[in-house]
Amino acid sequence: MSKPSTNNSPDLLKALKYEVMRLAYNKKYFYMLLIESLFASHILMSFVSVGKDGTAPFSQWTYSEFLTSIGPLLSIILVLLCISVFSEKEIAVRKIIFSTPLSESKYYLLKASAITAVLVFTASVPILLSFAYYAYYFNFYAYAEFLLPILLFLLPSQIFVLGLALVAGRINSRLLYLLIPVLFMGFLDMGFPVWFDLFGNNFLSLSLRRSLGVFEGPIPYTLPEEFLYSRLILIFAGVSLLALACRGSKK
Amino acid sequence: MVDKSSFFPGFYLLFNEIRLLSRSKLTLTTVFLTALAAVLGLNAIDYANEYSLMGLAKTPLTVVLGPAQYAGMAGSLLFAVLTLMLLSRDRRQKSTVLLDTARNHSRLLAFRTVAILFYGIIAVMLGALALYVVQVFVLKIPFDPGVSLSALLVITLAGIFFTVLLCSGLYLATESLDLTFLMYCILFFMSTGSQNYLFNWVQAPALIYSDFGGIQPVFKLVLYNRLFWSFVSIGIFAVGLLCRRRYELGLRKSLKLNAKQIQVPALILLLLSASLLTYLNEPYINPNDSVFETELTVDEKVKLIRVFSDVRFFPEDERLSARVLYEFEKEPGTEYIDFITNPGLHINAVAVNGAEEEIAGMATLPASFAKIKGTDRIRVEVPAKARNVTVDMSYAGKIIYPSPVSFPGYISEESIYLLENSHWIFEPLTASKGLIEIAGFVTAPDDLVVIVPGKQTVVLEEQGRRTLKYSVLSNGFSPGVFAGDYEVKKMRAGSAEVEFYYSPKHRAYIEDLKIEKHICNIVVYYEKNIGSYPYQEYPLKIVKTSIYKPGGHSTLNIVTVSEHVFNREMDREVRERSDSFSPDPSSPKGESFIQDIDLLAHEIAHQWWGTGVRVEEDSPWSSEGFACYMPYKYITEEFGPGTSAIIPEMWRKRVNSLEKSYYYTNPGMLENLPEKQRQIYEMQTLKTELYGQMPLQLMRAEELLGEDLFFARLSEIYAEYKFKSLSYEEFLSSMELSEDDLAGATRAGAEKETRGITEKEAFLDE
Repeated sequence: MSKPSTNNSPDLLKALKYEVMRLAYNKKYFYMLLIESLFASHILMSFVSVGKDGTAPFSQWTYSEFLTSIGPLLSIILVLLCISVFSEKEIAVRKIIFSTPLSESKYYLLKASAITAVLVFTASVPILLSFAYYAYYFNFYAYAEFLLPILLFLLPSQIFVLGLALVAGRINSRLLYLLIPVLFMGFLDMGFPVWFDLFGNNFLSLSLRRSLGVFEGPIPYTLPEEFLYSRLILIFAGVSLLALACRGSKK
Repeated sequence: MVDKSSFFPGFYLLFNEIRLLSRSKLTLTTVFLTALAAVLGLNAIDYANEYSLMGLAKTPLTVVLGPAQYAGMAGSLLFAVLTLMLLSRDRRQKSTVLLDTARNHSRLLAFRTVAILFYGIIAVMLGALALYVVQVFVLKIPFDPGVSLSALLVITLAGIFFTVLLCSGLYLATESLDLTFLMYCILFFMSTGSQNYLFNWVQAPALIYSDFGGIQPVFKLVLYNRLFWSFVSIGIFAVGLLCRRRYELGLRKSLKLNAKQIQVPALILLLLSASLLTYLNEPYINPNDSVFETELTVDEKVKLIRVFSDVRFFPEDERLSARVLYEFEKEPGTEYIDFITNPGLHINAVAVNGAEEEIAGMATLPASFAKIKGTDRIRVEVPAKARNVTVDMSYAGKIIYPSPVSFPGYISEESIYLLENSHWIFEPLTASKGLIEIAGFVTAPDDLVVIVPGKQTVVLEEQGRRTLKYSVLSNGFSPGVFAGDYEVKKMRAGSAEVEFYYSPKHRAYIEDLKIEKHICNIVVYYEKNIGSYPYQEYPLKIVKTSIYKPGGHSTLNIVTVSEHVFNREMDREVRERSDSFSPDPSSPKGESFIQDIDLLAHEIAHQWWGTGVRVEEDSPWSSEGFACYMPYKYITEEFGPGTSAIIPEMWRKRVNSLEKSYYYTNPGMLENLPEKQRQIYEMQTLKTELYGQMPLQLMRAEELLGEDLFFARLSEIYAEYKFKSLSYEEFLSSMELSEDDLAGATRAGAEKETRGITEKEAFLDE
């Protein structure tokens, strides 16, 4: 007969792997990826091929526009992933889970990490599709140029939505459903100012030359200061919300 | 105790669901936010980011689509959430099996859907009420219940209904909230992003209704779209009912079980067929329309001599009937003549040299003419040996648009707008020998003031209809006809007699902003610098037209300008000091005013260049260059160089953007673009060349020659080429300039303009 383990702390890495598999290894997630891929292909073949404001289809500006188009859909997938964390099933077993050595904070951290891992994979699908598109149609392979647009247009909004969704879910899981219509608005140009532009689509819907005041020569990839500050604020707010969501509840 | 459900089970079930929903915070939030969105939509014009809508006057007709579309979009999103939350409730509470056993669950779901639709109605009613209060009491805009309520019903409520049915159907079919949300997301994106109006199920194809042109040209598209989506959404809902899982069974077994109720599969088949038929038989848009085909080959061996038409308009059912007689001279050997038609107009009879061939009922087309496949053209066979040919054609029907926005022709009860490229008179693809005589009769209801080319006289008035006779000599085949509730102001400008047709609704703006004075000044300026008005025997008719075709047009002696030019918001300052009104180009309103005058002067300039002198188009050379440059000169004279500087600045920016664009510098990569995108790119490039590059070249010519000599030579060219064709080479030779002289126009213009802008900025800073 084997001796029972004296180590009470659970294997978090194993648990994370399990959580990731639970989120990503199912039919629903496959369909989500399928829809996302089709959508990304449509954007690449229609909007990206033209190029933003006369810039090349593989310019940083065009790539930013591509990211603003797929951003809302990615956020909606993110919220849908969060919904599974706060589902009735999950809540039902939570008491049992909390009776194990896994603390509440660690539990939410584990969940947030699993969602982040799946989100990174989900985001990598349209990005890889775009790389393939550029390689096939334009023989373009300098993908490092797209790092900055990804950092500015995709990452801050997704971190913010992740934090917001987890906090909303902890307050009341139904709030997550209300978050979805709000994120839908990301598909539309609502004329929001640059500092209040979650996905950056309102800013990019304007003529770059006009909004940046560059009327001669190529359009440099310089973004307005308020936009850059808004990205920092989004990241900061997202991380703060994440920390808030992962805190232990008062007994 | 009485069991209420035994009395009227359906009603009780529905009432119960409505009562339960009324207790939900989500329902109340959804209803409230939808109503709020309707109110916020009153400012939709301000957020549109389009020049034609900037500062447009808010009237019952111009504001009505904003609230309907805002509430439609917000309501659609919110009701999607509400629907899915409600429908997934049983599954979340694990009571599906219980309900399946206890009662007809399909029926319960159907009643739940109806209960949500009930709250959709409540949201729209509340929205209408809030809209009325804010519109009338806060914004002081009159409320037209007929127009506002019809928009809310057909756009907002229908959008909510489709959302509820689509989400219900998708959820029942997939049993997954996540997938349903994502699929709905794609449908919503398709609605807001598609150029095919049939997919715009949440909103309307237009942003505003015309303030005087009637709502029918847009409203009928919305109605047809709603018909199509009624079939689609009910069909998807029925599919959902068919796929609904029973007793924890899988999809296949549930399908088998559900299909036993034969009415559901039958309904699905019926709705699928109806959707398909509605889509395939879409009656208002023709994608083959020759409006987009600018390079159709003209048969130079056939010359059009005369066209005589008798056209009757029936605006009450948007129809026209016409009989047109064409006279041609041709070289022997030519066996056919091609005509561009409007596919909504159906040919009743064609006669060549008097040999009439009737087309009766379903009979096959006679050999004398045939439709050219994939186009809207017909080919009429003519005797090969004959030198003179007459073609007599009768046709009738409704005008079809080439696209759901900015269409070149429509007939509605309030107005008629038919440019030559709507092909209301079928256009022969032939050359001309000198001037073409275009004449005939036009009959329309007498409550419409009809404007036709040339000289027009009333010949008959009976039974509420008026017949006009018109006749004009033209250097091209470009007849247009316009009608509406117009007031006319006749005035003299230089040697030209001017008739200004406008809607009485916009009289105040026209008077306060002295639009008539500007029209006169423009004509006088052109006469002074180019030459007398080309059609001395006809009046110059300036006609305000609806916003359904923004911008303007010039055809024979008629200039049309869209209503936005005459219908801007006026602040008190403008009203009080209209005599000394001077536009400030640095303010959005000032910039709009300058652009409006620029547009008016552009279209009037086409009377000299385009209609008077026929400029042979060879990009960038075309009449557009003159029509852009002359207004710039007029605005400089009228308002000063500080004000007009924004015009060449726009040309320069446009050209510079094009020259730096990726595909312009790498034309070989254009093959990577899908065909449609390539066409759009080529059209934009052409526009920049015509409207940006050419005026800059003319500016360069003036710089090289000096203003006086430039205009003196331009006047000579005008006198020499009036009613004749002018090529670029002929222009350069008359100007005593070479192509190389004007080649650096963009750069020279850019340098000069940069100086100009810097000076202007310095002046503004002071």
